[in-house]
Amino acid sequence: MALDEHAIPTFPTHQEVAQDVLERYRVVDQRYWRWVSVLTLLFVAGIVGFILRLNDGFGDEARSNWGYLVATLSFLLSTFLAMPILSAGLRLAKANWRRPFTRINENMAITGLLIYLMLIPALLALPDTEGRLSIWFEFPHWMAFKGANLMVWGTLVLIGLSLLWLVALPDLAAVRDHVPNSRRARVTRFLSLGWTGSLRQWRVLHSGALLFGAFFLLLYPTTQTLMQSDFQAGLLPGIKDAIAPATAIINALQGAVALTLVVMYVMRRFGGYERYFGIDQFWSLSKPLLAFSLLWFYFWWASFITFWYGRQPGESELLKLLILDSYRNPLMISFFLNFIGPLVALVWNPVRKSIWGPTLVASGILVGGLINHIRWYVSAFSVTDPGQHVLSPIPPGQLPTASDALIVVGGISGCILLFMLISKLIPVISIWEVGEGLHLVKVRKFFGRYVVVIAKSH
Amino acid sequence: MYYRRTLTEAQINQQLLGTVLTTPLWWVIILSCLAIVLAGAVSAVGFMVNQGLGVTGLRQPVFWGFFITNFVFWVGISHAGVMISAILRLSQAEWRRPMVRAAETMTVFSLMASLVMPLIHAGRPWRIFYWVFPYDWARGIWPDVRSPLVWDPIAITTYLISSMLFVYTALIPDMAIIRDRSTGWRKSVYGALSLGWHGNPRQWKLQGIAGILLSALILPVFVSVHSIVSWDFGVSLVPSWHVTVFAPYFVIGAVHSGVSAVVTLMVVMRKLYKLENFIWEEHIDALARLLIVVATAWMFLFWLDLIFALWLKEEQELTVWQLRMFEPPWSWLFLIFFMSSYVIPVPLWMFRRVRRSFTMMLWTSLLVNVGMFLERFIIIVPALMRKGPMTFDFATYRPSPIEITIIGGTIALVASFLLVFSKFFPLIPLWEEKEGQLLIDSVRVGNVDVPALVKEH
Repeated sequence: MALDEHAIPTFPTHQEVAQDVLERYRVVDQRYWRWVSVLTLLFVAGIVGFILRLNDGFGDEARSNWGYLVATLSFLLSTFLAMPILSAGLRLAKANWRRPFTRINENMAITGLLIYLMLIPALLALPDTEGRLSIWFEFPHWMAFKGANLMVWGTLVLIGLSLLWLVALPDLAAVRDHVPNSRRARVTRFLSLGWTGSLRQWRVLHSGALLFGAFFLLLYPTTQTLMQSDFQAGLLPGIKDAIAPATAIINALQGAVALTLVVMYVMRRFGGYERYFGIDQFWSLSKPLLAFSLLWFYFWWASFITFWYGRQPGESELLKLLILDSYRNPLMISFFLNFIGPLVALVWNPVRKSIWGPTLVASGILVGGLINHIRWYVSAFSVTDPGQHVLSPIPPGQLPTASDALIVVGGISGCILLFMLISKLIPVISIWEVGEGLHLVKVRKFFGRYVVVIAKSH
Repeated sequence: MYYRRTLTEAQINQQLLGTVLTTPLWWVIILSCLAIVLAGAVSAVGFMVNQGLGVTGLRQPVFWGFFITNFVFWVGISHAGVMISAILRLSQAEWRRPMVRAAETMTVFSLMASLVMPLIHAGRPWRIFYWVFPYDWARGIWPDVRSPLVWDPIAITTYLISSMLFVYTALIPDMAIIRDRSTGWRKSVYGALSLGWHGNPRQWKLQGIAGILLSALILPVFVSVHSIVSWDFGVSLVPSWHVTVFAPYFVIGAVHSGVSAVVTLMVVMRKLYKLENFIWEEHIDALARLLIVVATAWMFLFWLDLIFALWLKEEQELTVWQLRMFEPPWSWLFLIFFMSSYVIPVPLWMFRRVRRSFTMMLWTSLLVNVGMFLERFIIIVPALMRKGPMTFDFATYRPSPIEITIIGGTIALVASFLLVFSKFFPLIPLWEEKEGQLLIDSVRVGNVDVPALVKEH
């Protein structure tokens, strides 16, 4: 939908989009199955790594073994499971440019199933709340952090899946009606819940999408607060970092935008979806990516400067652990990938207004994000006595073992695998949303050139 | 937001320049009343300078009271300008047009009011010169650049200068219109100020680029100003102040109070200046939706502050919070703050009828700012009252009539500035309104014409 002084912008019709998407849905490329096989192998390798770790158990002595699993859990929460936020938030803001990629964001809600499973061993690795800092204030541990976490995370995953199912109903019905008899068609027939596209059904869908989206938006910060307070702050003696959950949320928003860009690029490059993921989508997402990168630094700095000026004994030890000493190198890497690199690159309009620019920056952000999560959680899980008043001794940086590497790779592969599988059940382009958007645009002449006019219904 | 009433250029000129070209009686009456309040405030300042800070309620260890609360409050109000004009311009929100200038000028005048407060608070204002000027004046003491108290004036003056530039750049086309409709000395003055503006394509292009660049460049300043003000508290070791979340908490609180102040200003402007053709229900509806998001984010950060305050179970921290929440009169103030800032307005804003009612939005926005003033008061004073670990160090604070008069004077100052500004410049940008009219369109969907806009690039 880019403006061009010399050419008249053209758009496909709703019918053309439906035919194209359903045709891609019908045909499953051999490359797809190759990638599914590779990802399945990597996921299985991750399970092997997890089983190897299981041998050491969940006692206090073995807590440091689970740091990388928890870091992976947090990374997945802050990237894959944060993507529905984009869909919900941009839908509330009525951004028209979101329509081609909104289904990618919603489909990622399926990764919540794997992430929820990973939460269980992470909770088992945590010590009792007795004698250490906790927002549960030594409340009985099963009721408190384990039960509450399972409930909150579970609700988040459930709302994400409900949102996905609801907004996919029209497209599931389209598949049901237009794709010949196959196993997939039988499943979509069941999932489409008899959708006929009546006015009442559309009203319920629109209201439900906004409602589920709003609930997801409200519950996600709660989930991140629990993640930060239970899995990081609760294990670091003397820490009082109120901004940490907010920092995690901003990092998650950055991660979600970055992952959306990378997925769009991959689909464009290898899936042939160029007509859906154009300059408009990459350019529009590059601006919030720049904003979140600046906020990444701002939230980190707000925390750092308070500790630095305080110079309290507890704070100084934590600075040495997280920033100045043990995990200085991971911080430097993520500082560059999550802040300096995006700032230097995205401040230039030609870079923002390209396909490769935002994608390259986004890739760096994802790598930097993973390293940052490793810094947060591996450091916390390597503390031997969380009940101390001041951290002593300061644990050294902990490199990953082979099992840790397998867990990290397996977790990420598992999420990508789930996304690929669900995308063969629910079309990865939202036919009805793109079609709706096409009804709301027209082209007209405006002072000697052709421009796009976009309507926003209320 | 889309115009439903199409106005000609002549109508826009006539209606928006009415306040500049004529002087209504209500303007003179209100300005006179404000001048009386200002005179009272100036007298109070003079009395205080003459008699000393002892005429205020400030006593050891509570050396920051109403004056600093007011300082933080006005810095907060100033955040409306960048929020409305810069951020909404960059995100191409069409509904910003009638509010941008009023929000930006309110920013400039709020910053002036906030800068006045530390000068008054010093007691002997002339000594500040020795403190901030970068020279040791044979005392061997240089300004401490590691102190947030030195960053404060730097940040605020940077924000003030950039906001003034922002207002001025956007004013140029309108000043040219007034120049072309004036005679005598007014024509000369507006002519000089409009810098030879003739509205040719090159000038419009440069104007647009300047607007976008200034919007982008002022954003880091906008975030840094209130963050630096928050670090006046955050980098100290006063219980309940030494909190990492203060920076974004203060910034989002500033946006909350600033945008609420814009709502108040819009409703009052619409009534006094008869701007019904320009300020509609859709505008305050959009502001209310923005406020719901901002207020909810603020509430989240407030809860983080509270939870992590109790986290370490430090006795002094718990003492401060106990004073704030459970000991009268602070407990009453806390309740009023909590109800006014979030519990009452936000649920009301969930209802479309409330969002589109000018009366309801006026009262809820005023309530928010009462609550946000109390919020700053509750952050600052109780912490100082319980600063020492020993109970014999505990203190009380009650603002004196002198302080209350001076605070009222700052409100009158900002209101006077806005009134005087409206006498010389239109409060709604003429060129923005005309540009908005050009971008209106509609798209036929079935039997319905859906309002649409030409997409800007």
